[in-house]
Amino acid sequence: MRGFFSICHGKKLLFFIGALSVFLNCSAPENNSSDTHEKILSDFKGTREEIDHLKEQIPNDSLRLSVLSRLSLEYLTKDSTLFRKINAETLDLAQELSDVNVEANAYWDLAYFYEKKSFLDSSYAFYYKAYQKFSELKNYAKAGKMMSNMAVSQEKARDYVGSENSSFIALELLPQTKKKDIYAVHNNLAIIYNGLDDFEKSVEHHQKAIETASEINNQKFLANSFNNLAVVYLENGFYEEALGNIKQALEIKDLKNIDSELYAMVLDNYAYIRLKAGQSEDFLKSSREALHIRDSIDHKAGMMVSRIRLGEYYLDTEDTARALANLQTALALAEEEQNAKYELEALLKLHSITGNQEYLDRYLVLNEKLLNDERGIRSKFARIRYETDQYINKNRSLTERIIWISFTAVVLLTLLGVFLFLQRQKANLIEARMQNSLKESNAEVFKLLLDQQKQVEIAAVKERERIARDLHDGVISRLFGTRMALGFMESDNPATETHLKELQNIEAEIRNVSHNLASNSLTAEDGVEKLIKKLIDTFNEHTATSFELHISRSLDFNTLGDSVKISIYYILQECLQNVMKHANATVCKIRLNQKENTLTGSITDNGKGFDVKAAKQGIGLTNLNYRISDLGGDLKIHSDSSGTKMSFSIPI
Amino acid sequence: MRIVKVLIVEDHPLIVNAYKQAFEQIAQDKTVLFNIDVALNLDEAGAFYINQSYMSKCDLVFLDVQLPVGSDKSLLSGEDLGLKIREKYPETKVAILTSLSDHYRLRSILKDIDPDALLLKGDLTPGELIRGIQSLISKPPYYTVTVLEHLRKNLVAEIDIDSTDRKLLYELSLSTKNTELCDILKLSKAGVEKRKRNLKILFEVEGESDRELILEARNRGFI
Repeated sequence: MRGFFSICHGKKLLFFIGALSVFLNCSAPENNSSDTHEKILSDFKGTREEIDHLKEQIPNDSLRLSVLSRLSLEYLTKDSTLFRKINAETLDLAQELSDVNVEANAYWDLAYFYEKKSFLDSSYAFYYKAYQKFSELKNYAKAGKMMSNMAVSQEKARDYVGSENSSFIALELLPQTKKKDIYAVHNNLAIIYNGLDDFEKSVEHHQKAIETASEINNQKFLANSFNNLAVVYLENGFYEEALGNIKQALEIKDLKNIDSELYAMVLDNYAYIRLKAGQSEDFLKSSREALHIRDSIDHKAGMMVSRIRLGEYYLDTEDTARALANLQTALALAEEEQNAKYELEALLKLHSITGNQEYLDRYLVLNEKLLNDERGIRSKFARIRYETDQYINKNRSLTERIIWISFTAVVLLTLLGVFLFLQRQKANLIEARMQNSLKESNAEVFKLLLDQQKQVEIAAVKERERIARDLHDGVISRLFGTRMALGFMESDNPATETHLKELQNIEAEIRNVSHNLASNSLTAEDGVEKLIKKLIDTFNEHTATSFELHISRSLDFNTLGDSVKISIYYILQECLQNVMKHANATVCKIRLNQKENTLTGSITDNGKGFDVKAAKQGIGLTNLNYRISDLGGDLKIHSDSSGTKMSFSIPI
Repeated sequence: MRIVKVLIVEDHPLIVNAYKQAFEQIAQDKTVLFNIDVALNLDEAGAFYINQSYMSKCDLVFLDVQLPVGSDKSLLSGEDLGLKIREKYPETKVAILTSLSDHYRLRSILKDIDPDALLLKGDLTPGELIRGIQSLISKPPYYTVTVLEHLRKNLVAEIDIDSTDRKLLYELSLSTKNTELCDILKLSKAGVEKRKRNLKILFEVEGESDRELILEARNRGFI
């Protein structure tokens, strides 16, 4: 635990020890206690070179950072220069690795370092940075603690209004469980109100501090607060209350052992209050004891207070020589320690005793300087806050711009996406429509082809029938008539009978011819059959593959509907094209069959085959499937490296 | 001497001549005398037909089946006329001369008109014609050889099919389209198919095409 007592500025240059700082720096890493980690830490000798070579020693960035962070904390109180170096490295690496937590803790260390060195502005600045980082991490307990520390820095610079502000922010941030920190804030507020001459509020906050201290039963805090409250009463002339409180502080058990410095302060204040209350009998005893303790622990500020108060006492008892001696000792100490407050106090008292103008002049100069310094620091506080706020604002406006740009980009991209999607949909729709119309026009073309074929067929049949009828009704009848006429002619020629017989045979032949002509349509092929044969012929002419068509005798194209005819033709066309383009086959057999009410067909080739699954995505097969399932049929494809067999069945 | 009144309905003068010569030869033995009238087309035939006094005395009518349609279309064919004469003047003997030879038409002629003589031009010779006329006068009927063959085939055929089936077969043989078949036969499409299936089973061409059915039916004398 790293605790220390800060020195409090009493108004009217009254001496008492102020805010009790109990802030433990918790920047120690929570995890990462690996063996190498520990080894490096224990081997660390504390030289600059080691820090310089740390990078080679630990190439792992995060491990190095954790080591640095630990070292930073360790050397905070040990070695200022080394600490500054380690701390700077830690900050650099933390920023590089975006480890905000380590960064925040490093700022905290640095702020604490400056606070100890009484660089109030730097301390304030780094506490503020730590506060911002902790806020970023949403660690409100630590952010509150940082704010509280800032308040203390402000109070020290007598920026009471600023400090009051910071204190309230700290109170808002700190969770209820952080009693020690809440205590510190109340203590600070009480001191501020005292500084602002707001006696009642000061007492109120001291009492709140006491309540908080009792809640956690912290004796030291209690003693500190009783002491501080007593001083407030004392300053405002309430000696009885002051005495009551300082006695309570003194009654804290074992205080001398817990904290001798605090004990000395309480004791000194007790003596002084009694002196002020007109009970000077025991003053020297208590005061000297306090001085003795302070001497032994080398508490310079405390020694100054003791000396000044002794000087006051001797002045009261009109022992001017001793008064002067004590005050001059205090002055010398203050000068040596550059403790302006006590220097001023000592100077003022010396002047009042000796009337020496030199003391007054020195007092005035120093006071002026002090006020200037404090003013300077206060304005620095304001600037730090302002600059950082401005930076934050700039960040915020940048962030806002980024958000807006991102939002606009997202909206635009979405719109673009929707637009593209719609375009695609539209294109798909058009494609589907085109395919449909292609299909329709294909069917139309084929229907026309069929019709044409039918017309030709009908014309041919009609013509044949006409010829047959002519032969039958005309030629045969005339031949018959002539034969009969000849037959009735008397003739002795024995050949006549033979010729007549021959004529009868010719008649029969013509009748046969006529009959065949007329019934030829019976044996005639249907149009689609012709077209299919023509298709096969065309393929055979133009490809190396030999296409063989087998149409079962049971299949009668005449009985098929147009849609089925068109489909068969289309399926064959599509399949044969596939075979021609891709199969690389030498033989392709096409079979068409009819079983009951089902038309079956198969196209078998001895080609190289194809990946059925992949090809199913293709437009050709999709169309085939579509066409066949449209007719309530079924398409099966089997393909391997030895060939492909496509079989389909269509109900008719 | 017996006088036989004969009406020849025939559009070919040569054939009319042949008839006349045949009658002459028969008449040479002086037992019979032929009183011959000729109608060269259906219009003339119609005129004879509506002449009741003529028709009631007419003994023999020779009819060509295939005749040009008459101008008033009251008669459509020799067959038509034959039917009408059969109905109205059952005493008149009707002889049909035709060059048709398919079984279906022969059957329908035999069935509907039941002529006293059915002469196929292909079979006919002068001698045959004379024999035909003589038989017709004395002891009808007279059929030429093809007709007799047809009758025999039908007689031995085990297959018994109704007129619709016959018509269906006949229409199929003419390559009539399925759609038209339904109208002609007054059957539904399914009905037509059912009859076809049954016919194919009957003619033992089950599972084969219509063509096979027709060829088989023709073989067996149904068409």
